[in-house]
Amino acid sequence: MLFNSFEFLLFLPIVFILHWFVFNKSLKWQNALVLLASYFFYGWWSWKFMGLLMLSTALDYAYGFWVASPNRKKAKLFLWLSVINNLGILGVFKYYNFFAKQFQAGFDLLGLHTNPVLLNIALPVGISFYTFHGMSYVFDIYRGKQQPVKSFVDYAVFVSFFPLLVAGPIERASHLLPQVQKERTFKYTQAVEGCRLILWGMFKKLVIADNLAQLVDPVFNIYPDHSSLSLILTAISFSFQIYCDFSGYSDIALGTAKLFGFELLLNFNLPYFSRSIPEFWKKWHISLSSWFRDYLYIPLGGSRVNFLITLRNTFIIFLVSGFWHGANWTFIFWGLIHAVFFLPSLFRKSKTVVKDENIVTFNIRTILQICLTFFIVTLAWIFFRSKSLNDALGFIKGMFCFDFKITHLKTFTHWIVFVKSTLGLLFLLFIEYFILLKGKTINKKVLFVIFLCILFLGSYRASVQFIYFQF
Amino acid sequence: MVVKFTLKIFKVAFIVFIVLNLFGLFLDYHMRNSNIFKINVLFNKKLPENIILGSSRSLTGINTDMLSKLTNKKWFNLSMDDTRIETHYLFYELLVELGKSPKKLLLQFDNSGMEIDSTTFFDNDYQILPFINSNKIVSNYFSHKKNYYLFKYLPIYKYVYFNVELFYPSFLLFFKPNYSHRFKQNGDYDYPKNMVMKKDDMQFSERFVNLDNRSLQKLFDLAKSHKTELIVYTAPIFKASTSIKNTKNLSYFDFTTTYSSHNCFSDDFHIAHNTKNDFTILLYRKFLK
Repeated sequence: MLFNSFEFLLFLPIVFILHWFVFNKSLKWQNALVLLASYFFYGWWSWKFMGLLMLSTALDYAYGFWVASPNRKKAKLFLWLSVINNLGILGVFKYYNFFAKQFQAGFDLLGLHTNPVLLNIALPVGISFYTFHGMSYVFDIYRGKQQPVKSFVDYAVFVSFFPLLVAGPIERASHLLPQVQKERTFKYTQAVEGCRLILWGMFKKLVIADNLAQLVDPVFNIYPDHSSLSLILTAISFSFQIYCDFSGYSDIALGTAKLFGFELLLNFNLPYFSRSIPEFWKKWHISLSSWFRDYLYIPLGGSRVNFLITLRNTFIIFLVSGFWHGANWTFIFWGLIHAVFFLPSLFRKSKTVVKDENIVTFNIRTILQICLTFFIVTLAWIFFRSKSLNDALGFIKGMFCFDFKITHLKTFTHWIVFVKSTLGLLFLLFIEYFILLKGKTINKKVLFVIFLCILFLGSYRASVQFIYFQF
Repeated sequence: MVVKFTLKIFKVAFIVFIVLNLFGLFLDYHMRNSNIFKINVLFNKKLPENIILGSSRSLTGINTDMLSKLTNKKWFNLSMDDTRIETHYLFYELLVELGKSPKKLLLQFDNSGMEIDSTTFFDNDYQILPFINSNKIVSNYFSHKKNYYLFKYLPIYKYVYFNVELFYPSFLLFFKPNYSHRFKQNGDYDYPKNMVMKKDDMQFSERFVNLDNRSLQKLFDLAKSHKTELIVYTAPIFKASTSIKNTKNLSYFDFTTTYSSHNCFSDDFHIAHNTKNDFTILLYRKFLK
């Protein structure tokens, strides 16, 4: 079920009413309802893969008890089994074909012709997200940060909570599970904030991301037919498309969770106002980057080791992060570009500290830093979006041919979509700069404008799935 | 607290729902009373007794003024681009219902337009939507299509879903009340005059058309019962022939292979502006002389 679908518009109030009016007497029943609703939400997309979700949930639930064993050797063994199990599921569904093809290409180079069996199955939606939920639970138990949960339903709610099930944010057991287990009380302000976030997320998705998708997709499909100016505009458009698509989804997820009394991890914090790549990574897909930081970077030694090991760790984390997105060299290269542009901060580490807080005032230096960071991020997105490395390089080459005709806005409809998305983008920048960056909340009048924009600037006819569903 | 919140949300949602749908009803009324689309002309204007129906290939491929002069009878081109036989039948059915049953009906068909009835929207079906609640035939036309109930019972839905195609034009009409979308006074539409195929590197293709189509059969039956002279043809296509399955022996004429030079086409499916007059004369000589 998509957040931007009519079905969800019916589903959400029904679950809300059942949660707060019918099952409000017992936490057990509330959690059972949330779990049932989550499975229904997931099953709406495909009942076929429900079994896989349940199996993954059940296995990690069991590993939780085994890893909690006081015998550390036994605990470590089960921890590894859990890792193998989770990565095995991901490996089969997400990476098997990629590796099979790479081995085939490798053997071909040696003159040994092989014909590997390829799997012809769709990637189960949300697999990368729910396996990471499960892994975080087992890791936290192993580290003593979390106790194994007795109730299977509680644990299953943590893994499958419908707002975050298919595209995150990737939650931590230590953050979400206590909320699942604690008696929930309805908070008026939290619910109102939830509605605000849902509306804002819908705006980003329907007005900006889906409109831009109509302009971006055709150009990436046949980039050699387009001028430099069109390619540059398309690259910038994709930067905003993916941001609005994914952060829009996260906003709706956070808002929906608030309606049920849950607080999820913040996933985006105005990333395009970042002044450097390290700052960008503190503000983009925060739940994934912090997951890798806590469960991969720090166990590898993080930055508290010598410079070369830190360098190695940085590259590992970015390459793995790229590979997490999909089995394609383009994602790995995307990670590599970020790693390369992350390096200067490692050299300067002792002198400067990456700022976490958002900028409130702008000066020329800050604006130049923001533009440069945006340029690097946009360049990297070209690899992320392209079908192959060759396509990405061809696209970038085309951007520097200095041909300034506009070739991608061929019809009147294209121009209208362009105007719609530009208006949406200006409004987004206005809201992010004048309201969110300064820590204010969106007031009722602005919400009303957002609502009207969703209705009459949104793209419905060419509805596009959320980009991160494919990961 | 939860009761207060829920009541407030439902109250706001209810008011918004009512206001928006009243606005939708107003827009329906406003759109229906214009002449923006072909369907509006069909409802609102007096039409001549000779009508052309078809897709973009008859919309752009016939000079209706010339045809009127040649036949000494007034013709109107009701063709619409991106439409199929189902839509042509709807138009003819409406003409009959409104007492505008034509004496002669020139019907153009092609393979894509003859595919089996679909539950999906055709590209230009949105133009017909403002009539969904005011006319039973139009309502029936949409009844098997996706989201029918939303379009029928939420008047604002069509203006949100098709905001570029319907909502913006509805505003344009306040400033240009006589605006018509992609057609002239006689119903024709012209591609740019210099739009001619430049290359001749296409492969020859064979297109298959099955005339065992429910809408086409109904159109033939309706024409018979209303004594409309029905002339059916396939328009020229570049480097293609048409293979027609016609088990019910419906009469038609196949012009698919009439022109072979790429200069006669603006693209592989549409004859160029420079060939339009020639084809109109050809049609006249073949059927209407």
